[in-house]
Amino acid sequence: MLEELAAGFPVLSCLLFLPLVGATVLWLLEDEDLVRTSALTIALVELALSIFVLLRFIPESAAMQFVERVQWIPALGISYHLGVDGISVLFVGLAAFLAVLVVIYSWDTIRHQVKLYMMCLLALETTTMGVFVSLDLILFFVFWELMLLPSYFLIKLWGGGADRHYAALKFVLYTLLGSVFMLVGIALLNINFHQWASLHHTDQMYSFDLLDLLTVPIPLGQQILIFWLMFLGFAFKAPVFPFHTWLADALLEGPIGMAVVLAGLKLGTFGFMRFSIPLLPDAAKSETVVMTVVGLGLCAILYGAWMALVQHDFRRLLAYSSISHLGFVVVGLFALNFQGLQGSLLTMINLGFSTAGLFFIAGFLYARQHTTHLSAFGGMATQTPLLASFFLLIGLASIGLPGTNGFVGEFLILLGAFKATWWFGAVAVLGVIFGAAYFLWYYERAMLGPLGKAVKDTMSDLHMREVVIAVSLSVMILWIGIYPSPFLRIINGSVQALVDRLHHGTVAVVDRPTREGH
Amino acid sequence: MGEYALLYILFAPFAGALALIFVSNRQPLLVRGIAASAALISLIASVYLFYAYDPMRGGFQFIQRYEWSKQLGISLYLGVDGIGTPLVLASSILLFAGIFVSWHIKDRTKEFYIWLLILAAATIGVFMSLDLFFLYFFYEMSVIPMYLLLGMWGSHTKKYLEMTDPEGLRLRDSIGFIKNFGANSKEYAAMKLVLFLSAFAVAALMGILLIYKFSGLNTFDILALREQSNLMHIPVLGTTLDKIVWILIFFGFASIAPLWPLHSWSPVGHAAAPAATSMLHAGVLMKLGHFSIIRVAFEILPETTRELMPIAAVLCMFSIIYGGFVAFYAKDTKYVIGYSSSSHMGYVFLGMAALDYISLSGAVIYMFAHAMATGMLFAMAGWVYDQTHTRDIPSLGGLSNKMPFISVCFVVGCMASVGMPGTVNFIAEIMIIVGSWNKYPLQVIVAVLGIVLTMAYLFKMMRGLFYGPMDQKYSHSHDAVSIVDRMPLLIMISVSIGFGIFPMHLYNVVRSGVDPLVARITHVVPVAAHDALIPDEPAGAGTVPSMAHRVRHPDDLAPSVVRSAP
Repeated sequence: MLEELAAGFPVLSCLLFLPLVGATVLWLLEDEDLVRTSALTIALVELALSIFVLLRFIPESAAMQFVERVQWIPALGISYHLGVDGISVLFVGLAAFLAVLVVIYSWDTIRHQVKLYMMCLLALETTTMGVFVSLDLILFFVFWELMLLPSYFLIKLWGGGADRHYAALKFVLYTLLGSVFMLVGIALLNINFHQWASLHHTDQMYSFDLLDLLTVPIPLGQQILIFWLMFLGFAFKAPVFPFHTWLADALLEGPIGMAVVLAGLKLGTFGFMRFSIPLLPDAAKSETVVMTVVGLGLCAILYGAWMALVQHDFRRLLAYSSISHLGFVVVGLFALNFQGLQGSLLTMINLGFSTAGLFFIAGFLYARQHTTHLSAFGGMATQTPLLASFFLLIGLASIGLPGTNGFVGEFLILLGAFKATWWFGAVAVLGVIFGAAYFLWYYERAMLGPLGKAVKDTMSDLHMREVVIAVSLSVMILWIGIYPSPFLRIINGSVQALVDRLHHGTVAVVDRPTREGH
Repeated sequence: MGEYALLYILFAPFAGALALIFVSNRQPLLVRGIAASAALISLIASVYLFYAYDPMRGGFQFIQRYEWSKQLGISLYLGVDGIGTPLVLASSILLFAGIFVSWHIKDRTKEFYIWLLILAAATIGVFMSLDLFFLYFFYEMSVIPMYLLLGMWGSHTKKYLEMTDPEGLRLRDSIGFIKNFGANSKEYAAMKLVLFLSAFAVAALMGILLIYKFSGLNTFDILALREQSNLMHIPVLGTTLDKIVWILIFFGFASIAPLWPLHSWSPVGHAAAPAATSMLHAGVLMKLGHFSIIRVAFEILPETTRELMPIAAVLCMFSIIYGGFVAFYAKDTKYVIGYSSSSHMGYVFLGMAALDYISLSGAVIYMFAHAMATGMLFAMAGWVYDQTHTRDIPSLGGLSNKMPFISVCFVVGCMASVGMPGTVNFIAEIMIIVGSWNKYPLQVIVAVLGIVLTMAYLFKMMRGLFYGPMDQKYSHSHDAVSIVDRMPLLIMISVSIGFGIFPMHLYNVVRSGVDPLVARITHVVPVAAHDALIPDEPAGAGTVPSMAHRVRHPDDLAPSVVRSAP
């Protein structure tokens, strides 16, 4: 029944193009208030659509759902193929949720070129949605690259820092560099498919379709090569430890809205889970790959946390804490067992609430003092109790206090890491301690103690819109923290299928090509 | 209520905290009323629990189990045995008393009570968890409220306030600066506490995860793990895994106890904390350490416990003597009580280390008794601080004229803390000493000297605070006269003396929890050897042949049986 409904009503296409259409509509509008209201309406409709998808999604199932497929360039096997499974469906909801909050946040913090800003935001939403719902690698790559356009302008035009032009360029160049390698990897996947297809005389000679590619065995050497190529693409974007240098600049110089999207939606690690691991399971579980990638993850955890400890600027601290958290995600992913993958996926979603939430908090601080540097704060808790409370709650979620979402994800990752190799877990666990240290130390200096010199008596507490943002984030944080099973149920099916696939390798699936059929 | 008693005890404070969020700070009476009634519900339920617990039947009672994640084998699995029951009671008594002790807090009353309730509920949660995941969950949850209670409502030390040099202040506030005895800000204390506790909690977490991984049972259920987990024969790093796990668990949890080399966060934290927080911190939070060691290490790794527990016997001597001497020389009331707590926790470790029926029961009763005694002392130190705004003993004196009630209670508190006959502390101390004598005579002698030392520093502090000449600037200070101010002290005193005179029920309850545990540790074939050998050979090497069977709690066969209300 659901299949019929999905077939009759292309809900994913609607999700995908609604913001883009909305952006075009905004272009026609003149009045700034009208622009804001329309942008909010579009974002809310988008959120409603994504909630519809989440509600109609069949949990505990590994199948692709809401599938739409239209031939695009048949000669090359490129198709317009959309679908969501347990791995991607939560990201769809998260992206729509964050977009609403960003629009609300930008309501009065963006003062110039409001229309263009909102258009960029909505265009960015389309491209991120595209990344999450594409099942065709070329389609995915198109959205992956298109994402850079609105991001570039958002950082360059509305960034707060003096070096925003530099940061925007750095961001784009780094990501592009990575994606070039990824494109080569995608091409190699296609060539491999072609070779296999020629050998077996199938009808279809070329395909970039994820589900087709999954049915074809890939020799181990080839797999490892492709793995590293794709790894570079995702690692630059994520960013995984040695490829991270653009992140702090982009987050610090760019506008808060952009930072929320960049830090909240973990596209790079999503890529690992969506493409690298299922397509290249034998490579992913080979000794060198696991050791290298987990090694980088562990470095990232310690390095990120250590760097975050000494930062005086809150956004820079958050950038390094993101790197540290991504280290956790990577370690969980390459533990390659059920708990690790489940924990990583949940943590990616969690960070969308907690790290993004902390960026909103940074935004609230920025709106008051026009900087997030520590020197501008001190003893704020007495002046702005609401801000201090939400700051604390969201921060505690990010360091994984029991009862918040961070704990569940972190615990699952550690569990997975311990199950895989105990010392992975033993090192990763240090990140938890540092996490508490850097957050609480910053919080203490900014919020507790005597009133800072730069803090004015007239500083206002959160106003209505900010409260709405903070409350909605807090609700999600506590919901996942206390009752995570609805979310875990959604992701379980796909994670289990992924674990099975890892177990069997690529060769086994050839016998039953419709295993993940739609 | 009946079988749901544990849920009431655990969730009443959480519900109270939740309700407080929606109350305005402009209605302080309503705020206090909600907090007090939440604590009262918890208290009534735990008194009921204490008396309804059937020591004849023993084992885990009032069991509640709710599946949380089937795939991971995690469930919210609550139940108390004879060890958990008195500690749950102590926690809720101290929470209730703490609410009244902090009745006069004006600054952000609502937030204060929210965190106090969460702190108490989390500690209570540890005492009743039968699932390792939730044990760790509640354990971690109790740390963060401490940070806020110290950082927001705490107080700086005198020396810190006297320092005006900004460079010095900056240095002393940085976390890297360690040698700042007696001169630290409350923020420093809060930070140190959190870092210490979370770092060691993580060690314990590693132990827990190793148990989970290598038991191969895919469950965090303590009762299932203790029957079937077998870590004895897995070689790791030149030793066996069970030893590594045991060390991680022991030191991970001993840091909060606090055992001697890991103790330094604790007195600093006490000194910075507001009175009610110190009460809960010294009264029950520190016992989380002993309790978790008993619940995790003793239950799951009995063989290893027998082998490695002498570590505790060595370290506890240092705890007792070192803590006692520092307390003797400290000038700050809260440092004195803080170090005295840390010294007294050495007795508990001694009682645990001897692994004897009497001494371990004594240790558990001591935890209960110490909660009351130290709770009283911290409450009164808090009262004196509120009245005089100083905790510096040399500058105080002669307050007994101004506060006769407090000074009388203080004498009782000191007596209880020393272990005067007639208080429950006496019973606990005597049990620890008698029970450990056979195994650790040297430690017992040290412990007895420690009692003398306790008497010395407590009486010195009492003299310094209440007798001698009084500085005129304290002439405005007044006694606790209202029922609100007197009630918490009277409750703790009556509990302490009441159980001192009528200890039998407490003793029976504790023994019912301790007996199977000690039997398991001292007389039992290792589970693995047992399984492997049966039925060919009845006993492995190094075990007592006549006891070559696994001792089971009567409840284990049917863990879902819940005792109905009488």
